Amino acid sequence: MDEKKPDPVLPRIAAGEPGATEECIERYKGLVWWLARQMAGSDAEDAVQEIFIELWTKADRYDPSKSSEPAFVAMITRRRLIDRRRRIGRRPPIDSLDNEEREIVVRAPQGVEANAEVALAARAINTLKPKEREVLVLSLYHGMSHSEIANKTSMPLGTVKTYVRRGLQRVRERLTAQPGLTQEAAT
Amino acid sequence: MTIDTASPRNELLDLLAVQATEGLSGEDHRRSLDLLGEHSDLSEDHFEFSAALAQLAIGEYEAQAAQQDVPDSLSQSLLSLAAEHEGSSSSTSRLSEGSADSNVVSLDQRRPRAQWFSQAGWWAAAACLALAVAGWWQPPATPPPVDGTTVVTVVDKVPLTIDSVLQAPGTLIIPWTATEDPTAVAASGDVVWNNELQKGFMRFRGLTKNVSTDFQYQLWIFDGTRDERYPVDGGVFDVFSEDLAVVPIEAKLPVDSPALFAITVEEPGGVVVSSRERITLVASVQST
Repeated sequence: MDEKKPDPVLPRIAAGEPGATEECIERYKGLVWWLARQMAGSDAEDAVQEIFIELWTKADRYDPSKSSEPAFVAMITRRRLIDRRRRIGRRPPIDSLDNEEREIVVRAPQGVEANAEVALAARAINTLKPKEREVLVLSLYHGMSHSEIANKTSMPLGTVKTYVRRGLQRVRERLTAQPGLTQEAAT
Repeated sequence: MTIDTASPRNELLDLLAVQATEGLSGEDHRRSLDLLGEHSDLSEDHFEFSAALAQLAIGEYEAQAAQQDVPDSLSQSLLSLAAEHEGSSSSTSRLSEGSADSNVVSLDQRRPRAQWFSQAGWWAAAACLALAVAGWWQPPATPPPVDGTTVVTVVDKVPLTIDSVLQAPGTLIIPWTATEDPTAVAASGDVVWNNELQKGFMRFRGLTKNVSTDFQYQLWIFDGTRDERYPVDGGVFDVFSEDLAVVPIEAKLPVDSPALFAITVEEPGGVVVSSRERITLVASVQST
């Protein structure tokens, strides 16, 4: 592949470069929007604005040696959405996942490095047993709580927690085994 | 892996996994901080990076597919926030963590969300096509050459971006036609294929979600230059969402002249030769 990884924009925001925040919006609004739609439902638009403000104010915390910028953005976004969910209340009812006409929108992570990270994560997920993968998908993709997953799948709550942890551990092991990806993500 | 929940380290890892997926209560968060003090090799974000990438891995194609549909009103609000951020020399301190809510611009011009797929052709159904296909596509008398069947899912990645295929010259976009199979009752969508790139993907709405241990979907590509009894295996896949699912095509052989795309319901892992008992969706190149 001869795609070039775009220059990180967060360090330029931290340095006060004019226009960098707009570039950040253009580059990541789809990614943040998609995650917000997944995790915040009808509250997504307000959440996206909150998240971008946080990204700009925490721009100096991004360390390119620790993760790709899209991964950092996704991580900060998820953290904010989880905090927001706990602060405001639960996300839309689970039933709506099946019935609601949701528009899932995103600008995908850009650059070879980000794609490589996602591909590694995908491979790790595929090494999980079907039940383990199902639990991880319900948790991360559908945003279900561990208790909700237990109810839906009739698995004991402890098993759900074990599967979630195992899935994340598998992804982490796959990522940290790669040169250039360090053990801890930047925060 | 056996998890020893009695171990403080494992208790901490359990808490960190919960934190990365649904957040911790105040009490649990305090407990995790206490435990982190005893385990300096772990950190609060131990699983957060992995969770973010795993979520992107599961939903990456959906993400790419609808990239242009961020509401205009939201884009404008973000640009206003950006101008405010850049225009204020003290913006960093004013917009410090915890004060973000006060800076959120109200959205008084929310628009109905854009339709991700164009309406034209999306709901088109040609039952007669399905019947024609069923008649044309007779099971082979003898098995085709075995190329191996690889199980793929939506989280198996190929070097593909939705945009690169959609924008490439010669890309075919063909609406699916539902059969009477129960999985396709509410199904619609299209198949996108570029023959020069030998890449493409399928988009579905309403195709019944499957559990991979019960059954899986399998794509078959009929190539006009090949014996029609032996369609090219386009990959086995799962559908996680009935709202929108986007699945890359994994053609196991080069496709010279695609004539028809067909999806069957198969046993877990897929098959080398389909019995064709359950055809759920078809898309005919000639009908476009």
